[in-house]
Amino acid sequence: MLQSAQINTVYCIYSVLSVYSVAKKNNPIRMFKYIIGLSCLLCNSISAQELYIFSEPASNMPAHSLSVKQTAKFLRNKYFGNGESRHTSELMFGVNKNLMLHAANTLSNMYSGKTRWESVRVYGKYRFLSNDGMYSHFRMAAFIEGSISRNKEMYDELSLEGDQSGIQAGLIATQLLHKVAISATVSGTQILQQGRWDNRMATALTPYEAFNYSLSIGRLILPKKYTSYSQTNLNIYAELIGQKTTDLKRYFVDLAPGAQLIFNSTAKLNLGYRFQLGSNMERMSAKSWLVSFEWLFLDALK
Amino acid sequence: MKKILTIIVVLVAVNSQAQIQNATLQASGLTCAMCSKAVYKALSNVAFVDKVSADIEGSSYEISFKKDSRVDFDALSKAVVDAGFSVSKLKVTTSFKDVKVQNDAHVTLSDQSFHFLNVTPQTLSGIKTVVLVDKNFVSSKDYKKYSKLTSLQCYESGKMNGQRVYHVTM
Repeated sequence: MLQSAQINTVYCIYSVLSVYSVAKKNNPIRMFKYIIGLSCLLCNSISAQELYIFSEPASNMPAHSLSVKQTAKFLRNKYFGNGESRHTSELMFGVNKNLMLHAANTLSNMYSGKTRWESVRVYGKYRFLSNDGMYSHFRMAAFIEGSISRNKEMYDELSLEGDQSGIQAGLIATQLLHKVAISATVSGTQILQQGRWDNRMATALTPYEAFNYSLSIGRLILPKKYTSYSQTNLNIYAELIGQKTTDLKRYFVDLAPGAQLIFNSTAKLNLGYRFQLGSNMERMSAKSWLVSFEWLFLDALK
Repeated sequence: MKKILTIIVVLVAVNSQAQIQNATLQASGLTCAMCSKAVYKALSNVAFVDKVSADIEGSSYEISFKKDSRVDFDALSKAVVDAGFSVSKLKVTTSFKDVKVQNDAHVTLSDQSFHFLNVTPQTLSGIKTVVLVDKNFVSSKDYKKYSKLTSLQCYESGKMNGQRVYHVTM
């Protein structure tokens, strides 16, 4: 006889495959239905985490704390066949209980063939709603970010992670409910590159405006029972990341599974693999790997 | 003059009738060890806190206080909120010596005002545990429940004549 955990696992695999198959047919409503179904089923069986690898939760870091993060993204360029990488150094500040700020610098060989300085980015997130219960919370936050990049626009996929210069703003809602943490993000991106105002072409070759969304779920695997802060934690995540450009009508939907180790309740080591479920965009690559290491200094800014 | 002197003597006597020993704080809105550590560190850094021991699984923290220090419960709540979470329960263990309490009435203990709610009139002696039921120390549901048990305005503001009043039950 199957135990409930096994039934859940079978259903999880079935749901992920279903999401993949409907995404291939580009049916967002059915896909959303499967994701909600999967999330509801997970409610009975898991411990949740919201320290997502690819997205930010609505919760902030503690006030007066400082976090240092180094991220490497690896991919194989679809057009040139090169292995390319981006290296992001990021500082994060908990200004007060509601406001946190990030500042990031990136180096990459993605647009240049050799590694060079590529971009800077600033990000601010303000938590404006917080309903805490025992082992639960519902939080909402608004964020805004801006980036300056030296790259020329070459692809349809819009990103402020180093690829392009622009601004982005959005809303995040995160629900932690007993054992499940689900986070949804919606945002709008405006790419502010020289080419946007270049009228030499009759029609633009690449998009400049986009609507973005993500849905993230996390699960604590180890330890089975918390006994001390020095235990190493293992979390796994699944994140659905999508973009629809609104000037030129193009889209992508990615799924990004990831694993995270937390050492001494202080340092996080993240590993993520992001792959395309569906798209009609010209993208640098349909899949990428991400490795990041983050160190939190509590009370560093007091 | 004799009457005034009597009042002063009584007040001084009342002030020395209770000594806060330690407290158990339960934080809400978190499940992860990293979040729990942020709360633990924040509580440990409060000036009058001597030692904190955490039960990560239960989100609760045993707090002992520095000897002869004045315990400011609001500072404990602020520490938890600054770490990103909320206080859902604060139980304070206090040593009482013949303290008379009435329901829905104030009493001054160790230089701080307390308003007892939902209690039977009694004289407290020995080690007892009181639970804070003010706005930043209970869930919003419990806050509404306790607000129905008092006829005094101070529950909403937490103050009486500009002075902080902590609302407690047993």
